[in-house]
Amino acid sequence: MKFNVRDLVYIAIFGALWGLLEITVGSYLHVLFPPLADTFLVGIIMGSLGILTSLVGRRFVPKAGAVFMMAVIAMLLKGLSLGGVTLGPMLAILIEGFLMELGLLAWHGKSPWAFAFAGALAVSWNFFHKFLMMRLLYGSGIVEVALKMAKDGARLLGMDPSAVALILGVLFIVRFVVGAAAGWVAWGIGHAVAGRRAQRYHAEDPAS
Amino acid sequence: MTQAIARRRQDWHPDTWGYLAFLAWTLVLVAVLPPARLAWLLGSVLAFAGIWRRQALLLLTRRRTWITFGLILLLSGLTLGARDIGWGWFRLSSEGLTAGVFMLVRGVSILLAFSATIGALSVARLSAVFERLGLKGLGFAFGVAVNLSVTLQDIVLVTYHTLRQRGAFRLTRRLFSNLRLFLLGVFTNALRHGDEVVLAASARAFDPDRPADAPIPLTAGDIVLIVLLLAVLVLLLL
Repeated sequence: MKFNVRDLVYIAIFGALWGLLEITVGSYLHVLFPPLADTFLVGIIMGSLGILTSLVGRRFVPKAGAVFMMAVIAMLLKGLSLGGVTLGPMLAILIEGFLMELGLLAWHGKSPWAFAFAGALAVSWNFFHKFLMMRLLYGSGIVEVALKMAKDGARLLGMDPSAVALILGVLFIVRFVVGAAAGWVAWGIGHAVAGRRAQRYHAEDPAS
Repeated sequence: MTQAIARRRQDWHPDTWGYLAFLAWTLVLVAVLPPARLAWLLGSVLAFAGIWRRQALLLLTRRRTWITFGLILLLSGLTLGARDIGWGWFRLSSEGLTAGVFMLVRGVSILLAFSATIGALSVARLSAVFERLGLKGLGFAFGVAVNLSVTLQDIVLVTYHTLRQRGAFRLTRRLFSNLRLFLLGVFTNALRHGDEVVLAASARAFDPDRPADAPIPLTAGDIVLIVLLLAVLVLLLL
């Protein structure tokens, strides 16, 4: 897909906003919520914020590949972060960008449903990300990670830890729903921002 | 004669590929190196910056950098693990402090590597690198993102304080509508700045479709550095 100068600048802006969120809010959340950092809360908050930002940007660059480029920029900026091992969040950002593109492609990207689906796909990745990172960095097996995730989830949701499948299912569905909501909100905010800009240009140039 | 000597010196100085290899090397080692060996990584990064890119070390002379480091250590000591050391009522966790030190060593290594690489490469060169990798326009976009980061931070802060002074973030029924207003303000102002950048780029006749002017050379300095980095990588991982 070909991007003109305006597209590239808008991609830079929304990618930078996403990256700044990751560097500031993300790093603080990882320090403030260490026990929950790897399983649920931080991932869901940062995933939703990133998706909200990039999908608002997609409203202004309605071309395939735009969200992925924003993700690459956010990922590169995250590399500047002072946090510990940034490889995990960097990989998550990249995969979220890729999944959003897939979701938008599947729904042809021009409706709130497409945004909601893209958001749901992207935040859902957080669920699988844990398995991938634990395997990559620490060599942990799938069962081991699933049990730890279920134990943490049971504590968070106030459920019986023996209901592993149910807990994992709830954790996945919550992510899916939050992602879809973030996508839906992004569509509305993008629409409102476009309306504001149209008003401003109309006020600056009443002849148009 | 002087020019010939200068050119020969230039040949032995790492260029684009050398700096990029150094950055990738640092990121890989930060991710895979056990904590006990992180000091070696920091030492190697400091040595590299000292030899080839002293400007990157200026980062360590800023007071703000050290205040940030101190805050990270303090937060880690306060929030991670049981608080087992301290003086009177002020107690910190030794486990948290250790984790904070490792976090700092990783952070400083990455910061120095990025600072050295970004400082050495112009936006045009970065743009050319991404173009070689098949990602047209990404170099320009990344350059704009880095340069606009401070402005965007200011936009977020100004919008936040403007709304906060009007009581927008109080826990009332209008909180969500005020949060939406905050996002609208941030995005609209960010796009307004973006329009100015577009005008500036257009005035300079920037064309993302135009191919990079010259190929990126692989200098003797690059090759020496890459071999050196590989050797240190093997030594640190053994």
